Amino acid sequence: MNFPIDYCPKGREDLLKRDLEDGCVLYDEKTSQVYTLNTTAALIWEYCDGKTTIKEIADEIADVCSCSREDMIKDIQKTITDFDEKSLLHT
Amino acid sequence: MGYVLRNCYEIYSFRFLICTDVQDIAEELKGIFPPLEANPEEISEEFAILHKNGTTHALYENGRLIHESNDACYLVELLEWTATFRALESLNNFVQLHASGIAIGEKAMLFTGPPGSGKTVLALSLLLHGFRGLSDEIILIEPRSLKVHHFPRNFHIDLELMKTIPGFKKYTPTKPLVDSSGKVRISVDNMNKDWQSEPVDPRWIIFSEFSTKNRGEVIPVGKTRAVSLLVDQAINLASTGASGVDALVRLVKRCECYIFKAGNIDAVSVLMKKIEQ
Repeated sequence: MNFPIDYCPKGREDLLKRDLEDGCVLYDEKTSQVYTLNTTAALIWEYCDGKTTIKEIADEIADVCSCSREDMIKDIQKTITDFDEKSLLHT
Repeated sequence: MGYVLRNCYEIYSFRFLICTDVQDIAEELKGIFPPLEANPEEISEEFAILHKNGTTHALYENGRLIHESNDACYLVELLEWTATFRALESLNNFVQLHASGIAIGEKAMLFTGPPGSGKTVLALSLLLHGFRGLSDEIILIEPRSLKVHHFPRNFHIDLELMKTIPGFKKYTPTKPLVDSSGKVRISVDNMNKDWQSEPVDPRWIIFSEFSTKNRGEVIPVGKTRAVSLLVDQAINLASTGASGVDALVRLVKRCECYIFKAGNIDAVSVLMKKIEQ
């Protein structure tokens, strides 16, 4: 599924989150699954607050990640799709 | 019953008896776990390998038939794993990792990785350098303090590999009982080395990768990747839940984490240099 750029992803609030210096760990107690997010994915997760669009997330983090906004949007869409497939997003 | 062996063991609070009437496997059964004393009146499990007929023997747990076979080695292996799992069932207050470990001073070095990655060889090599054994295959982590507790299971190493390594060759059993994966048991006591009986603080986590193409490299691994690799080797994460995950994250934050690409036993000297730094 390709999420549109005006979509506001929202991460599930019931997941256990632990930060690391180079990413973070999410734990889903319902499925006992552990997910590790690299630095970029962890940063995207931080903006999954249900209020920030994919385009806005790209605007925020493209400079940090040193890539173009177009490429950043594609990366974010891919990451959000990954979050969705792993049932990490609020439905 | 004409037992030739009837020994008691204790792994933390799990007390069990191992007995057999088969002389040929009694010696192997004797060393299946390090000799620990237990009061026979407090035994909760009894494992027995008994002769049935001809060359067929049978493994029993508390008098219940588990398996019968004419492969005595397989029955010993099955007994060992059954007793190990029973012990682990009573140790769910620990985070259990599929790992080997040694103690260097008051600190633990853990080796983890998939089967065949060289964990046991690395741990045994460091034992030969004078460090103390924590465990082979299973490491116990106390989730709040992260103290590493030893699990008294002997090291298992490929017999053919053992014969080729000069430092190990002299410890090759005279009548080795080879398990289904070609491995023999090596007791730390038979090597005149020591077990680390007191809990120690973790200091290093080594993710081992063995390949004859490797030249012996110690490569720092990022914390997030280290957690991912450790999760793959966590035995009881489903039952420890969030506290177990939390413990693994804190463990990785506390330790120096490396990938060790070893190609042969001499590569352990590369690891030794890292320890000394």
